Amino acid sequence: MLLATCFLGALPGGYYLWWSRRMTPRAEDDAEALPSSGAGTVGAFPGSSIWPFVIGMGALLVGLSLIFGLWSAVVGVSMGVFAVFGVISESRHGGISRH
Amino acid sequence: MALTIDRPVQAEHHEEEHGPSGLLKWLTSTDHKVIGKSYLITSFVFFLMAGVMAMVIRTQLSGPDNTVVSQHVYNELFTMHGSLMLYLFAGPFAFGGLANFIVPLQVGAPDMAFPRLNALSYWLYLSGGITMIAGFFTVGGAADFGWVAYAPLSDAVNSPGAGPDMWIVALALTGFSAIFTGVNIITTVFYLRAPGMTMFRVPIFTWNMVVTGILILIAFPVLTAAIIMLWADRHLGTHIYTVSGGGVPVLWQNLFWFFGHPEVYILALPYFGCVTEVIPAFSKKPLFGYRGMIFATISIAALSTAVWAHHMFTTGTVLLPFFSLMSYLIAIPTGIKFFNWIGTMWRGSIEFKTPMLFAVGFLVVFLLGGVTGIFLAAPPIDFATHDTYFVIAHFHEVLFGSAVFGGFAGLYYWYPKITGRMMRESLGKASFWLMFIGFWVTFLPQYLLGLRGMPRRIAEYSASTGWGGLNRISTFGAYLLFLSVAVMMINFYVSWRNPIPAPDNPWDAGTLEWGTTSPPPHHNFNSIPPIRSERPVWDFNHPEHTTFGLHSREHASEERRD
Repeated sequence: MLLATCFLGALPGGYYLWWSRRMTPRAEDDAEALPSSGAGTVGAFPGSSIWPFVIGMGALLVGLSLIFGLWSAVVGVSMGVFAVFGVISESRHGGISRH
Repeated sequence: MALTIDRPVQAEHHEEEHGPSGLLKWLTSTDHKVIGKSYLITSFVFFLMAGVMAMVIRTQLSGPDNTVVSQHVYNELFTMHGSLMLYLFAGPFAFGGLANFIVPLQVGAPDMAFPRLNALSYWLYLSGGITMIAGFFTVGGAADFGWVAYAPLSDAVNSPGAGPDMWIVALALTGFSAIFTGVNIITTVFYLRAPGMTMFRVPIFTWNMVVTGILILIAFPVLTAAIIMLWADRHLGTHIYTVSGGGVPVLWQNLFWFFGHPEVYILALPYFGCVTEVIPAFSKKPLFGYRGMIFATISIAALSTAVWAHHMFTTGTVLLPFFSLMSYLIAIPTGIKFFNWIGTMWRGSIEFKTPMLFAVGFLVVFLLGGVTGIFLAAPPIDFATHDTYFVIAHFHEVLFGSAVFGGFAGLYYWYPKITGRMMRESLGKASFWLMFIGFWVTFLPQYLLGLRGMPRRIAEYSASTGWGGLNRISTFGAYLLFLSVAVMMINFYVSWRNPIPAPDNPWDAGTLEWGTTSPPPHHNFNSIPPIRSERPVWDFNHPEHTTFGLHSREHASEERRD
């Protein structure tokens, strides 16, 4: 069991070891890098978004439905489904305010 | 969102001046600073609620045969005090609050890797917290089976009612919140570091948050599975934890503590990180043994997954030598950390400002609390002290030491950065001394009470036990602690109404968050200094002490001139 666990750990570990030898070093791993090496878009950081709140409230309703009756789960799940579409469309057009 | 130098404004970056305002702005914010502040405030409110519960508990125990509260209410109080403090304050304050605010700043990132997931984590946490508190308003009252919810006490026969169910749902919600934040922090640290910020230049606070995140990913799914099975036993007619039907009650203990022990390190490691930032800053010396600290943190995390059954020594189902040995082994990396903290202070020019007072308080309290943990790691001693006030005193020392002393050290340290105002030193020092003295007056007697046989989780005791005197002293200490928190609240209020504006770097500290304004601007940095060590801001501000040549700060963003 212990050997199997070690093997299980070695699986991602070995993959990362192999991959890290193949990848081109990034600016943040270069000990002599200057801030200009980070020029360009760092990543996509969605600005204000209502969807996390909607998903959160949907999860709350689903949770409470386990106690108070499954009807609120319907509302909660539909909020979640709505939010999935909302998040996708937001990612495509950039959200309420883009920074 | 781009860190660009000498590049024209890119076509797709429209600067929108009119975002939402007011309540909608808060509900839709994905800014890690806003979310971090929300976590800090919410968790502090839960801290105050749980503190009031503790005051009631101590008042009930102040003398023999008290009737301040009924036994049922008392059981709800200690359950909710523990649950609120551990699930809703200690974890979220450091990991949801301080980490969210500080980690992106310390690695030079404009935000967390997944801002919307970050916001979702906060809403799950808030709704989970409200659900747990709402248990008090159900007919049967809140959960009353202790924060550990042992089977068969927590099953449908012995704990019917909605309160326990709300407790379970709350744990599911806050558990997912923690898991998502863990994912966010690990990704942010691995992928969003500024140029030159190699992993071994990342501050120890951030390293500790990464290791905590990994521990969360290991431990919380086990809790979620355990509580789902508890739910199934309570409502779906399964017999996982009930003997009649072929279940195994001690399975709950194994599953819970497999989560529970890493959980207490999830609670402690972030605060070790806070203290590891405060001590070098106020000793005017770099951290002693940077790599040793990382090694020790990873060792503690790894070992913590192998010690869970030391909470179950008295069940008779545990391989005592193994778990005892592993529990002893954790003392070694913890000792390395202490050695390095002291080594950092050694021959430094120490400034005893409020954050440093709390950090030194942490060192004293956690050391002695940890030592009593080593006592408990010996099964014979555990057999005598299990479920007595000795254990209560031990875990309060380590948890209070780390979450409160360490957490308040971090809070006072980063308060200027987060709010742009300074806290008052006089009130801070007063709060510290009240807390330090109050702490010892509260918990030292409890060690003795445990050794004299006082069990935990009892609402009242008779006068013939002779426990009244020590309990009265302990209650007095608890009131001192209440007073110290009140002084701290006054400090918050005064700093808000009569603000002293905070400079960028009031403590002359070295890590990257001190290289931007207080509070930081949108997307954190207008310019980033070159990073050549684990304290780039100090190198930049004290070039006479550095051996490598540093160019002038390059401006990070041309188009953000608003």
